[in-house]
Amino acid sequence: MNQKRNRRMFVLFCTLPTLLLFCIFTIYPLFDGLYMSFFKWSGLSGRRTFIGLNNYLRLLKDPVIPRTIFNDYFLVAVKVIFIMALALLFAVVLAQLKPRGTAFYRFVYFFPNVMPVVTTAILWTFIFSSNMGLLNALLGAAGLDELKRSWLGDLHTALPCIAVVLIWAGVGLFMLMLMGAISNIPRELYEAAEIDGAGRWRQFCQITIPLIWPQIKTSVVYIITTTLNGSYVLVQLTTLGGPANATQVMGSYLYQQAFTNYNFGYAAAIGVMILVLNLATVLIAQLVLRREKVEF
Amino acid sequence: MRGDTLISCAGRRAAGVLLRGFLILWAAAVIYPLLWMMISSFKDTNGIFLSTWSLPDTLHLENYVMAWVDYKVGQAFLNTLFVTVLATVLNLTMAIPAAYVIERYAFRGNRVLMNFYLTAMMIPACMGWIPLYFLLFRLNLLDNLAVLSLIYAVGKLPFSIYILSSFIGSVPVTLEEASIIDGMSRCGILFRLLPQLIRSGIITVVVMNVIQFWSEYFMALIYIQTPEKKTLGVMMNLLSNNAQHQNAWGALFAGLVISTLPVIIIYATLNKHVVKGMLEGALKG
Amino acid sequence: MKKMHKRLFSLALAILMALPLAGCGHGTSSSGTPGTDTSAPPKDGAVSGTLEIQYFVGGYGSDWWEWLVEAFEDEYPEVEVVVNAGSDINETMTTRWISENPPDLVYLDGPSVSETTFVEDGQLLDLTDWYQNLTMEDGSLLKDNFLVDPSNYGGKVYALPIIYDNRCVWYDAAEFASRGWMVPSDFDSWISVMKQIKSETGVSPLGSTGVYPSVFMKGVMYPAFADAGGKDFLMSVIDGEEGAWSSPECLSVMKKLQEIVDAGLVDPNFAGETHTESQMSFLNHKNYFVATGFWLPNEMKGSIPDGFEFGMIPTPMNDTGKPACTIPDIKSVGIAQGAKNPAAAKAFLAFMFSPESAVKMAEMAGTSLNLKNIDYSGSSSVPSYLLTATEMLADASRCEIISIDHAMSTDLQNPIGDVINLLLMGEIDAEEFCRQAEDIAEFYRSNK
Repeated sequence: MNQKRNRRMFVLFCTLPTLLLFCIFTIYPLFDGLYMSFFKWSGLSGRRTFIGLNNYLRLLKDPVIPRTIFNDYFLVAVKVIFIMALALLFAVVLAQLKPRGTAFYRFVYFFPNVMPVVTTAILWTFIFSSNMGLLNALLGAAGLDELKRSWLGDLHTALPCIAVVLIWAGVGLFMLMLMGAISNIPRELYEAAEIDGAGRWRQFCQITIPLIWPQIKTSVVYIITTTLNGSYVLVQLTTLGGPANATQVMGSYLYQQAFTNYNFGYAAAIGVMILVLNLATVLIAQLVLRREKVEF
Repeated sequence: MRGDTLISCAGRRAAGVLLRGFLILWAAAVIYPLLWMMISSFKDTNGIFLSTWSLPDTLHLENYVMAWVDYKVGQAFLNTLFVTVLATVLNLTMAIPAAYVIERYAFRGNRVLMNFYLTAMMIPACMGWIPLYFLLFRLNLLDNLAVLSLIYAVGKLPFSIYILSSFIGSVPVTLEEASIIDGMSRCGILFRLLPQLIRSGIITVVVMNVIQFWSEYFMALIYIQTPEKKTLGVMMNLLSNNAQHQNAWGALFAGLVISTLPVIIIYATLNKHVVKGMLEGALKG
Repeated sequence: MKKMHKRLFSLALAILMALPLAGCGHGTSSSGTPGTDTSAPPKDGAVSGTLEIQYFVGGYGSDWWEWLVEAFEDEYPEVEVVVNAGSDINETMTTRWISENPPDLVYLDGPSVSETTFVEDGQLLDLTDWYQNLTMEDGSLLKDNFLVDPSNYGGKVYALPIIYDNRCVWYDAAEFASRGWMVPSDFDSWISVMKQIKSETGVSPLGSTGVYPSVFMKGVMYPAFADAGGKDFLMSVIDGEEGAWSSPECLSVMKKLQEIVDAGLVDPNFAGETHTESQMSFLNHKNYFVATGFWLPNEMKGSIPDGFEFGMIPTPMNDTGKPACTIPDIKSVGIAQGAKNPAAAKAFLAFMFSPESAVKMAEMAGTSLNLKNIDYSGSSSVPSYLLTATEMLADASRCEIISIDHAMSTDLQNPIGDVINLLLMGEIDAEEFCRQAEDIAEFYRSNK
């Protein structure tokens, strides 16, 4: 009995204070934000007016919203495909082929992940800049002058450029995760496959992929969440959503509505939309990835 | 048959060269911008804009003086260090026990609690900024670096719990059982044994969190009001504004180097542990 | 301006503009030598305690403000001024305003502060009756000395305009003289000299910032709207009134812009550039015209190439034979409704408007105070480009000054900015612009 109470006290001691603080500083503000989405409020004063669902009606009619949703999912798709492809490639090469300099590559590739996002943003703004940009200088040196352009100022290249930065900044983490998973695969499996005459490619498809599938799934979900919640930081620091909303994502539009247009209530409604889409997407992704796992 | 092998050998060698080339290219794409940032921090504005590629003609060290003195990056540096360290410690203090109990103790609500934290990772942070401000205002907790640290720590709880619990899950239970037999209390296991067992996991969490805390901008901006308490993120933004207005691009790059260097050093020193942590499977399915 | 994001933030201006009026009796003003405090308002014995002020520091620095605070404390030794200043001060202080614990006095410029929103939220003290009776040291009423009147919100005044700026088109006078290019005075001469520049240098000469399209809107389109339909039309466009953006006047303006775009005269890099980047391109002859305020030389000092000579013209969107319109750009100062020391705040606000203060502003900030008849002849450190500006704006045959009543709401300005970028990139034509802009205005009205 005493043992049981002791155990219960221990569990409470470990979880309750943490949970309490978490609810106060994260969950309560979230619901307060939800409540805020029913008000017209500038965010610059204490004065707010209840307007019911008007902010949500505005959301449905706002022509910029579909654009931001498209851009967000474009980034999600591109990031998932390229980050997973590159991370897998690097992970397989570094963990299995172990070329000379493996430790160096592993060290360097993770580097962009530890850089403050402000640094990343400023550096890449300079790389893409039209006049003094490194990219244009490179193209000029290669004699490809007709390709020179204002990369972040072009309707067609701005969003892909943002995606490039996000991929550059993201690959390292997932590479390490997948490396970890791959190096945990027992060697005997590959040796057995070798004896059966399976080539590298078949080994990759039939052993590596299925065995690291849990990590791949986690990575994909993680990429989806961080993209929908976090890509606005980079957008905000580089293009502010421009030109003409070409790089506008839901988060940057929320930021713009809240802090430059003074529509705090409307911004809160956008926040609710982001939350809902985020949860829905993660749910769907998990369903899709689970089914594929069964096929293996 | 022999011909086939030869062809596949040559093909394999070509693929190897191609792969190696790509590895080097990607490494260059990571290193070059950083190198360029450091070089630019020693140039004046004209050097940055007009001779993008070249080395500085003279070392414009005044960029660093300007960043450190005029923009008080020194004070901000210390403030940020304080916040980062405190937040990291608080975060671990809360996350390790929670993760341990969730992973090891079967109690009612165990799964619910874990899913609760996992779901909370998907909350867009920007939704909570202003409500949280009001809360802090009512509790008279604004303009306080320790409170800012607490908020950082709490905000990163789901992430830390998620990572740590997967590490704890990979530790064999037998070690704890043996300790109990040796007469170690629950708290003893939690505070003395566990940290040793999941050292790589803790370091992984620390590094990932330090990166976030070190460069956080928005909450530091609105929850801290006294100029002497401002953090690096805010100061960097100030510098970034001024680079535009006063053409202080050199000072901006100097500031970037100053603010990036510490995380680079921390990562370089702890690199082995981070990699080990990751290799041990930080983010399991 | 206030609506732009912090990276840009303050296109903070700089000008000097001593509008010489008819008769031009400069002699009556105090010449503002240091130590002359006769221009200060009468001392008010009741003023004491702490006065908290908030001012945004942008492109023209904080020297003038520092001078002002010191001079004020000399004049009112009973008052201790607490300063909240910086380029991010508006974000930092937002929380104070929300929690109804504001500073006493606020300078309405920079990001995250909006005069209109402050007024709508009831944050600012009604100054209507108080300012009517303020006098200058020479006994004249302050309101008669304003270059531009305060913004008017349904007959009420909540903030006094302190800084007077003016948008115009800049060029390198030295380059134009040496190449023999004609300085344009109307739309036809502008487009023909731009075509000439393009054929001689290969450079598309019209620069702009696509990151902050409102700079182009205020610098080129506002004057053009005023040219096309006068002040009333300009205001109807700013207010997004029904039919304004799809009107024939608007279409005629956009047709002119489309002509410039179709001739390939817009700097192809504009869309990705911030205002400082476009100004940098301008200084390095990567474009030859930019439309900005008079802040340009002050903001870019330190990056101006040798031999560069600033020249300016009122935006030449006017038809041949008519003067070009030019639009003043105003920054104001208000007192918080929740001010703890309104008496000191009023004393400070009144103290800001003096001839000495105006001269100091010209010298320290390179900008002009919103007062008529300021004599700068006693000062040797007033920037020379300001004299050119003064001359230009005084010439009624060349330009007509049309001041707007209030700024455009950001809810309208930002989406309109997007379609301006599309037009300048050649993605849409003038008709399509008007259609889309009218839709945007309709959406704006429906959410008002």
